Amino acid sequence: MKLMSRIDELILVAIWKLGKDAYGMAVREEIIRATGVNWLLGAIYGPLARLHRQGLVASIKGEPTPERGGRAKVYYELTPAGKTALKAIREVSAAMWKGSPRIEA
Amino acid sequence: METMGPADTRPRPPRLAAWLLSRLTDAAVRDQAMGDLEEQFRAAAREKGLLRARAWYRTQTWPLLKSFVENTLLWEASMIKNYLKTGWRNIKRQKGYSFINIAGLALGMACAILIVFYIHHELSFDRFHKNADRISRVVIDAAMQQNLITAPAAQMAFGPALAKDFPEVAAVVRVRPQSKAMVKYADRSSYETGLLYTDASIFDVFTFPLLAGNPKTALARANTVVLTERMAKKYFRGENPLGRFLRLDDEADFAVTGIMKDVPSRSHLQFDFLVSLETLFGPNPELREDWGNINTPTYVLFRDRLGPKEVKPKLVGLVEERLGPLLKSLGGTMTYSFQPLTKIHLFSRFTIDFVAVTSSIQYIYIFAAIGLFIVVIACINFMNLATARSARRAREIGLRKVVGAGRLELFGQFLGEATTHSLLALAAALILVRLALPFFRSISGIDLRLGASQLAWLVPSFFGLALFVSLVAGSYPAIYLSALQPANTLKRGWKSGPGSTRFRHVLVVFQFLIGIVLIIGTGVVRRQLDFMRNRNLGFSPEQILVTRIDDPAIFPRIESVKARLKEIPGVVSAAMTQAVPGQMSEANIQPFVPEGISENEPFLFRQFSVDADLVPTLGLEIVRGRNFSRDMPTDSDALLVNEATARKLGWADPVGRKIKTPASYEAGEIGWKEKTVIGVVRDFHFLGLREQIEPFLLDLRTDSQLVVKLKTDRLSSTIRELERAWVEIDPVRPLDFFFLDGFFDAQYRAEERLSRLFSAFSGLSVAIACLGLFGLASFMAEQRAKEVAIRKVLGASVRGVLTRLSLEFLKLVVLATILAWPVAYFAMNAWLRNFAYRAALSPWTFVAAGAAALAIAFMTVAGQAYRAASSNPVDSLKYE
Repeated sequence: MKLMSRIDELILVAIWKLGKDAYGMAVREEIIRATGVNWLLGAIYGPLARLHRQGLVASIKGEPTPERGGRAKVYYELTPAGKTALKAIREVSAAMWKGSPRIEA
Repeated sequence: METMGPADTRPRPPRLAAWLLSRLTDAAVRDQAMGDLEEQFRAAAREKGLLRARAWYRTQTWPLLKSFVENTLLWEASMIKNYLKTGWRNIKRQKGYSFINIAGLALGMACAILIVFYIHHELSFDRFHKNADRISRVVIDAAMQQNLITAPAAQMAFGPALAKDFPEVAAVVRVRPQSKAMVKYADRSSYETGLLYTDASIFDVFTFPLLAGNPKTALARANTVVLTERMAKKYFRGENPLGRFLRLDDEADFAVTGIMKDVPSRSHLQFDFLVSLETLFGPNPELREDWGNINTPTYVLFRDRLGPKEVKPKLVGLVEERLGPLLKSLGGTMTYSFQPLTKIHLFSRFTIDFVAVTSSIQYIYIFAAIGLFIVVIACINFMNLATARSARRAREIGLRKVVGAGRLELFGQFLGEATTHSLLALAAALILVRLALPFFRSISGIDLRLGASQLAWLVPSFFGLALFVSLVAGSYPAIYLSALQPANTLKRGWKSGPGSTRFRHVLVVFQFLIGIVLIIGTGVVRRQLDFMRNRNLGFSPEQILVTRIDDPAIFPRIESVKARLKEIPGVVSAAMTQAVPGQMSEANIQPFVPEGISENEPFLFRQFSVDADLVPTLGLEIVRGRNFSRDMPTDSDALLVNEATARKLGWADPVGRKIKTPASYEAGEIGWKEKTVIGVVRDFHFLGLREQIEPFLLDLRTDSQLVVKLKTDRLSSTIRELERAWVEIDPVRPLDFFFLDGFFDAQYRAEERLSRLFSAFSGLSVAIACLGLFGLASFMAEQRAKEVAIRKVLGASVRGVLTRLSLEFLKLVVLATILAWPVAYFAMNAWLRNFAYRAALSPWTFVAAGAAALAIAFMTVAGQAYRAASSNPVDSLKYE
């Protein structure tokens, strides 16, 4: 299988976790909350666009609202390929950890 | 405001931050990202207040800005640094080529800069006057029968009438130049040439600042004079000249009423003394109302720029009122027009003229073209060497492309290299210009002074020139080199294709074409000058000394004066005349009525008065009839005509024919006096060879110029004796004279200047082209070392190889020569049309120019070709 980068993984997990509410800013906040690092806009939106191109996520355009300055909200969800990839990476991760000694922080 | 809707009342993100964000985020996600941010901003504004929300929004831009600076700006800056660095390394590594490039560009730019100085100087004439754009000079077109004369002057009475009748006119000034006067103060006296009789209004019309004196009143009264600073120093040394008296021509004293700044060299009016015009009216009050003679240059200051257009049609009435009867009796018409002050220097070509220094716009075009071409020749060197050497750079380009350089970056890099070169060349060019300036001043005859006021446009134009050069020189190599394919160039043994070689050849042909055209131009201009100097003028100007007798009291005893002069052993003969050849403005243009023609249809001919000795003294030839004779009292009613007059009037034998000449102008009527033609003079060039020989009449009367023919030997002792004899003739004024041959040839100064500049620039253009050729040849010698080695191994002789390599370049020069011929032929024919008498274009000029170019090109190429041909094949082939 293809290994993916850490940020791709984080984004896919965040989208899966947020479900119906997964749009750019929510994804970013989810990741910021989990990692404690202030991710740049570009650092989230760029990979998001790439994942979209690779067919791992699909996007649904919402209605443009005045609240957003007349711009449409874009929601993301995982495609079957995205789900497979996410599942695979989790299995790889679990397989790697299996049988390894505990890490004391 | 309500109508704007609710959107306006809502909190808005800070504008600058929003704009920055939209610029800095990627286009693909910009919309959603901006939307998300704005939504969050609104939410934050509701929860935490507008201020904090705005602060939060702003903080979102910082990291983006930071990354932009780090990733883009710093990257670009370091890339530019890299371009300059590789450019500099290339210059250092290839010292020979860089020298050729920079030297060629520097020479070309230096020429261009000098030409720009020259053109700027010419175009800036008379623009220093504050009201320059509202000042015009009056021009008269007078037509009579088949004659049309145009003169930049009017009648003495015209100016005041214009000022009185037309409210559009703010001020009028008349000037009457006097060719020479003896100026005396205390024990200091000398001849001065810059005298101008003028109205007090000269200071209203022109900007000639007074250092002392009142401009309103300085020239209002008769016998007042304003002098320039340098003349004040010359005559008064430390004294205050105001209120003191200068003696002019030992006749009258003139009160000094003002000191003015020296006249700038960029003024078409040149003078050192302004004498009040009123002075002239004292002895001749009727001069004030003179409508008969067109002899007064008149300048008009209009209230606005449209003035000339508005006044010109209304002048028909004025002409009718003042000149109607006279014009009717002569069957002529007269039209006034206005020539803008700023056009006088470059756009003046009149039948008669009163100011000598005029240039021509034609020469401005010629030099602008030469300057541009020389720069282009230098740019071509850069283009050719850069693309020829592309094989050397090909790997670098390939590698840059492989590691991710786009075409745009490479384009920028090569343009950057061209800029580095052109900036270095600019620095060198400025040094060259500084060194060449005195030389350029002397060959152009222009007093180029560069002050701080010029720097304002000079500095930007220098950089403009450098930019132009880097764009012209750099863009082709940049396009060509940035298009190279890495896959090809990184392979061993890559060579540039035949297409680029062909293009280089086209450019070389173009360079030599220009060079050869310029060489031919030099040849043609020189031939024409020689032709004008050596042509049989119809009189002999050699050893003729000309002076003026200023005291009319001497005229009655003039025969004894001439006899006294002839006693001097070195003197052949002496004569009196109104004008000598080359003095266009001294002769009259008058109406004449030949027999069989009505008095209402006179011809306008040139005429001047001479005595019986002028014909032998000047060496004029009588082809029919006889010369004036002292022994024939009736000769005061006799005329000599030239052959052109006979031709014009259709007279096979003019001797004995009658011609009525004007004897008086009274009440607008001409009184005629009948005279008889006694002889015909062979046509001689009274004007320069630019002008056709025109009908011309001589009558017998003593006028003021004394012409003395000298023997060729012992010239200086003869002149000493003349000076001694002169003291007896005119005890007041020292002898002041000029030689006719030098004076006559002085008319060709513009052509001499052109010839000198042409030689210099054609030499330089060929030199620059050869620099490029040298570079190409040495490059070729290097590139084809293996080919040459194989040829030699297979039995080719050094000579054979040498011929083969040289021929390749010489072919191009031959082609350039053939193409240059028609171009030069048409261009030089157009120039020669300025002259009524011209040297025929000689095919030898064309052949010689081609041969010279070929010889120079051969010398340039042969050394490199010989180096290649004579090298040991082993050296080139040992690595194969």
